Amino acid sequence: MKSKVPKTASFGVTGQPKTYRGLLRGVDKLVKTIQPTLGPLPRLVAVSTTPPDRSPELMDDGGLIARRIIQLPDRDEDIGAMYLRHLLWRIREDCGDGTSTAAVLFNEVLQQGVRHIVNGGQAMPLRAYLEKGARLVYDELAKMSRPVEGKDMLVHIAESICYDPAMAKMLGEIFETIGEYGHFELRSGQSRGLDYEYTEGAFWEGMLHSKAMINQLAENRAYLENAAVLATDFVIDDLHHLVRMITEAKKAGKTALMLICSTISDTCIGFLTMESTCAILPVFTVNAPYSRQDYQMAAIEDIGVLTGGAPMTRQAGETLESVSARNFGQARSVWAKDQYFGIIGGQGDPRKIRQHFHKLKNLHASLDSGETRNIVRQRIGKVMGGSAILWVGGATESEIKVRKDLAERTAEAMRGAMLKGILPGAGLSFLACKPALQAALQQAVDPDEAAAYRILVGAMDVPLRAIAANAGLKPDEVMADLKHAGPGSGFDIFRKQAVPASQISVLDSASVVQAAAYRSITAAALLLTVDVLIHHKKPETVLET
Amino acid sequence: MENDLRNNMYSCLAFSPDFKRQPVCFAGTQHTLLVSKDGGSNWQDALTSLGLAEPVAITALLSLTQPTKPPLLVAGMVGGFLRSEDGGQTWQAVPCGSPLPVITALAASGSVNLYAGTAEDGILVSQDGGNKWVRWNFGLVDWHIFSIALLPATGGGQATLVAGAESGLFRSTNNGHAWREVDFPEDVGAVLTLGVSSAGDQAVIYAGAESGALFCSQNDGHTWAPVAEGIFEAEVSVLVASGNSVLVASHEQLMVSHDRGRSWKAWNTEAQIAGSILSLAAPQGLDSSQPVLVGTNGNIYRIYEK
Repeated sequence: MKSKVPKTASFGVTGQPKTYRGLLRGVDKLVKTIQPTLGPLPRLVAVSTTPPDRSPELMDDGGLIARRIIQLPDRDEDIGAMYLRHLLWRIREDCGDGTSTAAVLFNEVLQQGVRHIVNGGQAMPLRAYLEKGARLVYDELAKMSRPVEGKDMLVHIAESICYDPAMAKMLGEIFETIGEYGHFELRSGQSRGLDYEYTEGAFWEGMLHSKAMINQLAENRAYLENAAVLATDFVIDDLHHLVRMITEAKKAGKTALMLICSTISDTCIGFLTMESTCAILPVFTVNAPYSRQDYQMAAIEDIGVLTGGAPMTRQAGETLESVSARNFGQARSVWAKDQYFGIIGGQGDPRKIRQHFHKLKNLHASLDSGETRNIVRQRIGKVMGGSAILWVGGATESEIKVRKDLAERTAEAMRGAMLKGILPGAGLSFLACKPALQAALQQAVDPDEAAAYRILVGAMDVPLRAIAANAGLKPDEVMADLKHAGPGSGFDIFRKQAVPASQISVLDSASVVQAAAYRSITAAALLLTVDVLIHHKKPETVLET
Repeated sequence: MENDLRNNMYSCLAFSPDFKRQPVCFAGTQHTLLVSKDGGSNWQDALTSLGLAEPVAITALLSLTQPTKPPLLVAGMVGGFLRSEDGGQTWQAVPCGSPLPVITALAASGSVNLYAGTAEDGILVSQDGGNKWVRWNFGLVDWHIFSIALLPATGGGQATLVAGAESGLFRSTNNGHAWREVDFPEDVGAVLTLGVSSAGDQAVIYAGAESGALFCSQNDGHTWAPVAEGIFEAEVSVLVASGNSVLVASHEQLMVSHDRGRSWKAWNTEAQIAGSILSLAAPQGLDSSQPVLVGTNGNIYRIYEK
């Protein structure tokens, strides 16, 4: 029977040794929920839903599971758990995968680090040495990575991540075609299975302003060939401006026009859809993509480069009165349908397009993570031309959602693999970092430095141990088998035996493994330096018990 | 018959795959397609069976061996293709949708997988011997294609397609399904011509550029090195390669190298070639005892190396 107990969350300060105890308990609780999902033979985690009468969510994605845990009852534990949760979600967002690996590494480094500190070690130097060790692990993994070659390898990588052969086959085919930067979209399908299609050229989100502009009724779209393209962030509400645009387009020898603008007035739409106007110059208008101004400016810039027209933007000091021939780009064809518009065969200067392409690639490489990096990658995909859409079906909405999430993180990890290469999976790449860490350990003079490398040497076993446990094996026996098999061996989790490393069939994206290792170690190192926890006073809440 | 050939622009040449037994050659002009059944001495209109009311500019040609059948011929033109399955006796027009593409180059892998470069629409791919064509431009940042060539698969690998564009080179290792740009000098202008030769196990590919630069790759188009530096003053408009030899045309100049571009000499200094050279064909290789067909913007020649 449920009872409601009022509980006051008062201001509070926690010091050592309670700080470490609380943090460790919180981290451990979170890691225990995620650890079963690690490896090629993972277990699922069921998360209850709100309202509780619905079917629970079944998950094998560490990042998503962590995301579902929004608070632990104990406030000290909560700080540790939320710190790890945030780290895992960032890794999931940036890399698509690697969250479970990061969780177990984080936990091991934190636990062993705390043990060293309570035995007289110094937190700040330990942190610095762990960060140095994290860099060493990162570099060792980079040395081991090899490039992705061919569709078969892409399919293999995809299967190592999603364990869904049908999805892996499609994603392999798609990413071989669109490349690491290619534009890829996931949409809910009508059927129960998976399907994919390619779209020619580049497309953006941007609504056609009026259905009266649709000229291909069978396809329910507006379509123009050999069309001029005018991109602007202005609102077009003055008929005089519109007439001037059409006049200038005609003067420049244009035979059709796609106008991309912020918004357009009904009067102007009425004018454009008049038969007499269409006879002079067929025009359709669409919304400029993105509501956020900097993203919109970037999209308008891309459209300008692709089509060879100078965009008319307020930022550039342009006005609608100043429209001239140089503002009109050109494309082999343009279209607008539903919420999207597209450009096929932009006639911009190919050298400028390639320069722009390289500029964006450099920008992408300079960004570590986050939404801006994703936007830049999307821009590169659009400049490259061509998009792939994967239609994901299923028996229920929740099945579709789960498969879309799976496809999304598999795709993200595949991009990483194409950019940074692949590594042998199932924990083998971490084991291969041990010799370099042991060499550093032997050279260490400072006790905190030696402790840092000792912690990392031990931590390199942890992913394989967790994978083995999840596969129903005894981790100690697996490690003993590996030791007996000698250097250059790995453990095949499917065959349940030690084999030469070259025969390990599971592959991991190098970018995922590197990010998981580096971020988990440095994040744990930072948490080791926390001595005091402060809790804010919160308003009285009613918690269900 | 040569007098009748004047005032044509011979933009492309092709010859029968079984040239030794059947010395049939084709020449594309701005008006029609010409055929010669005697190795290039005498020419006649090949498209009479179509009864065309207007001239058809032929811009690219391909002649392919078909097992147990006469050669398959594909001619690129403004707006589509012409196709003949009986060695050029009869032709069918193959439209390829709008906007109408201008075909600039053709290449094939066998007689089924065909590839066409276009002036503004990138690459068209056919997987049924040229009956149906679709644009396939993933990764192709530049859609202005001047030349296309296929490097045969070596060592159990995939065949490599290379496309010369206005801004450089692109490469595909999956039958034109996806293209990736190649590290190639940016300041040499458009890559107008490509030629492939196989000597032993190794295929060599040459690329001629607008600036007069000539490049060579011996690793499936991964990396390129300049050859014949300072030899050509005008654009390298067309080249043909065979074995260790490569014959290169630049305006009215014809130069040959028999050692993969290390040394060069003029090809037949006595031949009076008038007009810019637009097309070359070496039906029996670049052996000095075999004739080479040279198409210019005014005439077509059948000449030997001197």
